[in-house]
Amino acid sequence: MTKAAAGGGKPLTSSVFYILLALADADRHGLGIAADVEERTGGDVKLGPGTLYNAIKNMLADGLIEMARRSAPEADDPRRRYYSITGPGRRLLKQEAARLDRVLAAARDKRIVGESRPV
Amino acid sequence: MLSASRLFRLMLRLYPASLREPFGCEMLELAEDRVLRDRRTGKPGAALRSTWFLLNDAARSLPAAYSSSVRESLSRRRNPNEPPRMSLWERIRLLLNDLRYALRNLRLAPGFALAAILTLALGVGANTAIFSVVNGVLLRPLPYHDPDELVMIYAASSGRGTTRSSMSQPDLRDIQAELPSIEAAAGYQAYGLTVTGLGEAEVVAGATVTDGLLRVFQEAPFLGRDILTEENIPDGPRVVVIGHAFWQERFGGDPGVVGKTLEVEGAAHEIVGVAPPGFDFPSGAQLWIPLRLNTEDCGRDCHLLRVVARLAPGATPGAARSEAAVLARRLEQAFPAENYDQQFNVISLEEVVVGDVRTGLLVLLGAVGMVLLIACANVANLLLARASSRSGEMAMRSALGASRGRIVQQLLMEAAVLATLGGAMGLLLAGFGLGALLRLAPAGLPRVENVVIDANVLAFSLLAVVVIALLFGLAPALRLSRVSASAALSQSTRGGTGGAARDLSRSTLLVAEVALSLMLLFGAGLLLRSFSQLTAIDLGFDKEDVLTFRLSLPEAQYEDPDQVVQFFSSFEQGVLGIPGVESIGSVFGSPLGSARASAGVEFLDREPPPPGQEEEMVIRVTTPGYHEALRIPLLRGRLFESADRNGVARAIVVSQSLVDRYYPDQDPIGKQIELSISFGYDVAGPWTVVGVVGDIRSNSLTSDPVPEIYVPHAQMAGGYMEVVVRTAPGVTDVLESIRREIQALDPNVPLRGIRMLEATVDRAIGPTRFYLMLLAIFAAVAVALAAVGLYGVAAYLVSRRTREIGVRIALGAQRADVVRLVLLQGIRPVLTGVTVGLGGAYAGSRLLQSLLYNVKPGDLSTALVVTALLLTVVGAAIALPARRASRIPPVEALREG
Repeated sequence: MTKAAAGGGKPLTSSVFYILLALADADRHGLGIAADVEERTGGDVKLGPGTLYNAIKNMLADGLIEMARRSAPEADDPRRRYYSITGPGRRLLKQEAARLDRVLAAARDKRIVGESRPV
Repeated sequence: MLSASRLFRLMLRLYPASLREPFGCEMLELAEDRVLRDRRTGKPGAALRSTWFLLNDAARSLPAAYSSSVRESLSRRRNPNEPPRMSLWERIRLLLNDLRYALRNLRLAPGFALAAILTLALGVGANTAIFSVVNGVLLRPLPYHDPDELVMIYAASSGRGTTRSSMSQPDLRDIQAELPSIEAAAGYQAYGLTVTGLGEAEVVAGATVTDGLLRVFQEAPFLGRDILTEENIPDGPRVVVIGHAFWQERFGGDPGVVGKTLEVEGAAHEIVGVAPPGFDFPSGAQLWIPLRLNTEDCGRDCHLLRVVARLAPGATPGAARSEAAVLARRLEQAFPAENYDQQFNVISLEEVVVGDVRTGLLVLLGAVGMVLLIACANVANLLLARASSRSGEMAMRSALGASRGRIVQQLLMEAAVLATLGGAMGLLLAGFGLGALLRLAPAGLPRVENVVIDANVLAFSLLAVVVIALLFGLAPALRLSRVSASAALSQSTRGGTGGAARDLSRSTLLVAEVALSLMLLFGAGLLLRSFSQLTAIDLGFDKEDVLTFRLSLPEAQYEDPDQVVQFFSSFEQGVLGIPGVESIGSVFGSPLGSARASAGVEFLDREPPPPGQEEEMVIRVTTPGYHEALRIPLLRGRLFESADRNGVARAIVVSQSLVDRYYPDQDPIGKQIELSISFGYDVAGPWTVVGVVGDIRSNSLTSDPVPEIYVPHAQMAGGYMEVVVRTAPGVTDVLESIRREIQALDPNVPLRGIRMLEATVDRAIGPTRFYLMLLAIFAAVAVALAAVGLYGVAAYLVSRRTREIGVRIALGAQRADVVRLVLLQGIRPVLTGVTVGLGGAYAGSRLLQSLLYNVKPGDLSTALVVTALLLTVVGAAIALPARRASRIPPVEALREG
């Protein structure tokens, strides 16, 4: 396992974070990941094919994600390859989310951003 | 729109295969999806937007993709197919496995293993032996403090072509005083000094020295002091410094030895010092006495001294040389008669000691290196041949999951085992061979006592083993590991994965073997021609059945020349009475000996030359029987007689070439000359020519005869003479009778330097014989190895083409056609090798130049002969399998296919 996979504390690249996020609730194929990320960010983040699959390849090698053992039941195309998040991937995602939360809290303290959650 | 997705198809090719291959389809799908969705928005410029997006994505992801693919391949290479980070123990276990496997494999192929190991042992053994000699003679520093600073300084004359002449004492004083680059200099003459009074008379290596010899070598006396400058005067005190070994041996290491007396050359000398342990310059000296030179008799034209000097710290020989050149010019102006055309020659001591043999030894080292290369090529060929039979095994291993690295490692282990066994055996061979080698070595080989198998030599052999293991192991290992599993498995039963690549490396090896062999053969051929020229030289005297030895009468007891003459005359008379002795004579300046005297010569019937430019000639002082004893023919007039005594008309005998040069059309008998010798003897003439004798090769075997003058001993008597005794053929036991003869005359005169004249002559051709013998052995081994290699390859080629040849014969091909077919295929690398080899031989033979006599380095006829020889041998090696091929019964051959 590489350092990134072991959660060495470095911030993740945004594409890795979004891919992990996209896989957090369901196994998806590449097209599905790209669509989920684009939707979730309101079209701000669009993963191109090179960026997405280079990241997928590295994350597979680092053990953050894996090929899904079988196609998800709701899979729209059984010929497509599905990816699922692994235990280490999920841990890393949580760490990163917590880190971002701390960053956000700090920003809020300094009143850089306002409360977005309903109180 | 379509153009954007087509663009991405093209861009996809830019990505590394490691990304493109597993994900290319999905990437394309994603790209097309993007294009499609952009188009669906219906906005203008959608196609442009998706194109821009894809280009942007590529620009950002390409560098990342490549850097991660490089990282991957690096980490893969570090542990090929093995789990990451193999433990040290794991690695050792694998190596041991490989070792066991390699040993088992070699046991299963004992013929192959033996052939390979013996070939390598021969190569390593020969190399180790020659390297031990190079190491001991050339590489080890001289056994002195800062030996790089030690130089010899000689007188030289460009007009006479001399470069290493002795120096006069006044010139030495100027060098000591005036050259800033010279820290200290001392002059000496090496002598055997007769020691009496400690039992039987004994000759001890010694030297007369000016002063400061120990200071030049930065040594302090072990006891007492060195010889002082003020002791080096005529009639100065008789003192002696003795060597440490001599002190131990003859005085039992007595600490009170200083102040005692020692009888040297018949006179009592006071021991003033003991030299430090191990100091024995020059040439093993153990006694040093002051020169006590009378500079009035022996001035600037009196060249007696060898000069050794130490450079000042930081000074270079070059600086000393230019300072010496300036001094020489100034001295020539100041003393035009004495120092006419005299230069100083500064040479490092190391060069003087080993310079003569350096070329020869390095040539031998190069030659023996070539033998090792050929041995490696042969073993590589054996391994390649074995590789074909093992490709099945390798394919199986690789099919079972062995990585290429593992297979290479295992094959290299086999090579390493072969090299190590060959190396160990070679070292043994070297140990045995070294003794034989040193016995063969020419008598003049310096520093021979240093030649041992030491750490340097062991390191050299180890290096040789590692290098050869890589040389002959790596190529076959890489080749074999590349065999694709499926291809090899399907073919392995038929035993042929040959292919052009393997044939190419095989024939490259053959070309190299043939070329190297030819170079060695050429070198050996040139030396052989030199050798036969040397042995065919007409010496001008008969070297057979002549015993020679030296007699040196103690000066102190034989001050009167008549006493000396009387001694030799009685001695010769006595020896003539010994049964078996045919004739006897004595000479100062025997042929091929080192002692000689020279004199200025003035021909009285010719115009005298300007002062300082008189002819200088070697004069040889002889007793009457000398010419007859050596069978030097008398051509005119008479030889010396006992009537040519002191006080009567002075007589000389001259050589034919003197007559040719100075009296070509006249009768030389009765002509008169004046001699001038710078010291010691009364030579006032005139001297009258009474006889002419044949020319002899007196200075060296290879230098042409020069004009020579013989002077009767009775008219120029000296106590140091070389005696030549001709015995009846086969008589060898006269020495004891001669010894008794001397004892009867004077027990204080030692007999030394006993040698057959033939051995002296032999010694002169010794170096050539030595180099010739070794080069011939190396060349023979090389040719044999090359022939074996060619035979193996030709046989292999034939076996591979058995079926084809069978078909040809069945279809009516003549046997001669088949033989030609095989010969042609085998001979191609041979011809290439011959071409390359001739080029190499021509270039390399220049290195031999200084070892050759009467043969030009690029000698064409030698080249033709050795080429023909090589072609005959390797032709036979190829012809054997070719003949066998022509006998292949077609039916059998076809069945085999």
